[in-house]
Amino acid sequence: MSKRTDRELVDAAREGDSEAFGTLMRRHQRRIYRLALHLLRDAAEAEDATQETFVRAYGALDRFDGRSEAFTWIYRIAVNLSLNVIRARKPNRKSVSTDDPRLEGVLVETRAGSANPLGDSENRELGRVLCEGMDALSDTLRTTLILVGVDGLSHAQAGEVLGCPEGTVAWRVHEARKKLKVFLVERGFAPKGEEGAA
Amino acid sequence: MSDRRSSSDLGSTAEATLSAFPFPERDWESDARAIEARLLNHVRGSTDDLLLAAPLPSEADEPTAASASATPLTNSGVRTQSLAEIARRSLEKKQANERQMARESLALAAQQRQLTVQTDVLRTATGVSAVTPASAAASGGAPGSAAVAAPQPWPKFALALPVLALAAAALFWFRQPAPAPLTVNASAPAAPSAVASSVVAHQRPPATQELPRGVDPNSLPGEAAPASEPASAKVASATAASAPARVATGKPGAKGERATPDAKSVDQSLPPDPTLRPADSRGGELPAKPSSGAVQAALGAVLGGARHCVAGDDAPSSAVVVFGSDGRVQHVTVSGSAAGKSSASCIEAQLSRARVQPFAAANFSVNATVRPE
Repeated sequence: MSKRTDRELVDAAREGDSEAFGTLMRRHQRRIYRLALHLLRDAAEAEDATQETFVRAYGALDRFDGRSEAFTWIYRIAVNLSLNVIRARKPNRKSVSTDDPRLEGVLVETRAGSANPLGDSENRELGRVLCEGMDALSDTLRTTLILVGVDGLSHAQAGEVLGCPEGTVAWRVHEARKKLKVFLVERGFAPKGEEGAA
Repeated sequence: MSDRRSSSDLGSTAEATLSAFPFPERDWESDARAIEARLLNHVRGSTDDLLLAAPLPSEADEPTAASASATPLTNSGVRTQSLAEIARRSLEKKQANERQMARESLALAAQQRQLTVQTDVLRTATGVSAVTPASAAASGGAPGSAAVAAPQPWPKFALALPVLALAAAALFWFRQPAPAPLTVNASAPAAPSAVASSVVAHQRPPATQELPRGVDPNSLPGEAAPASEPASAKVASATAASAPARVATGKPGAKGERATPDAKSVDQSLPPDPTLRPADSRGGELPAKPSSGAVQAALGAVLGGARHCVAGDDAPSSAVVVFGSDGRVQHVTVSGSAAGKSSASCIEAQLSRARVQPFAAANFSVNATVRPE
């Protein structure tokens, strides 16, 4: 049996096939969790947001009009829920701490390939500065950069998630990267081009 | 472009880290079960509409949606343009240039006519209308400007001008009740004097003489002629508007020239010349149907989005796109594997964004195949 598309799964779930929605959920939960983690910078909140995203998506299945991809529609719900959590936070909350779950991922990665401890340390530091730089961006630029730069969505898909034209997405990504570059340069991570990869 | 690319390049290491940002793995299956447990008690339709709305506000200096969508940036920040977009801009630029050229031609023609009228008045008033070009050249001046250039005739002109004005006014007074015969046949002098007949004749010159060739007054914004003004009314308005009354040139058979430099009042009496009409979207003739290139470009611009709709499908779908005469899509009929599914409405929405130039036929249909990505 061929793999069912997202649309077919949505159609089936609309007609009461709960297994179809489960399949859809398992297909996208990792990406939704990663998106929420980068937006919220808190593992517990990201987990809650991921759960809530699928529950709300299930509740709104009848309003999915098929004009966009099913996963971009779910992404939009996840972004909205994450932004609601951010707005509800206390304003004096520190965004980046030593136990930032995003950095935890970087640590796990560098431990796995520990042939070059110095390089691992640099990568860790680069990851930390990158996280700080992204946190310094506005919600709009940060979310767009996460969708395109981190999650790998195309401009068209990010435009569907954010409800704006592709050109606007491209402009936001460009602006976000420009600001991020300034942030990195100020902290001693000037781009080295191809040499930086060595 | 290179500046744009380099100004946002983070360097290869940072780029690699950003694009492959790791995150800790979880027990996804238990997470999924927890969600499914919640779904058992969840009611469909209870989700707030706000969660489905576009989430983020625009940035302060963000470009507008129209300009941003016109020339989107690629992932690397390079601005691109579709062929259809380039063609559309080129056409708009050409039309704008032609309109500008037409306006300048009108202004120039009006200036020249005004100068001619003034010169004729001077020539008549100073009695130099009989001066031949040869004698004018012999006296050291240009033939057309002999009267103006000569210093001696000016006092005579000053004395003759009020008399001439009175004569012209009296002539208008007598001629106004029956202007039609005079205006219809301007080359047949019916007045007792050549000066009088010519003055009236110039109030309503032949239509073909009033505008520079190639200028369609209907194509110029703000200069469209009012609908069907009677000839007598036109003469009356021209008479009222004609400040510099023109006198005879001494050639009874010569065609009249414009009596007033006011381009608007004269333009109203002219039919457009279709053979020399500028390529204006309002004045030009529409093609019977859109060109195949235009249709391909229009569909090519939206087919990418339509392919998203059938992502994952095994078989391609077909769509019949019907364009209306205004260039917009009237309706889309989807058949094939997507027919009857939600993806059909998605395809319809995507293909309905296609636009072609307006055309004369009532509608025009074209088949499109939407293949899965």
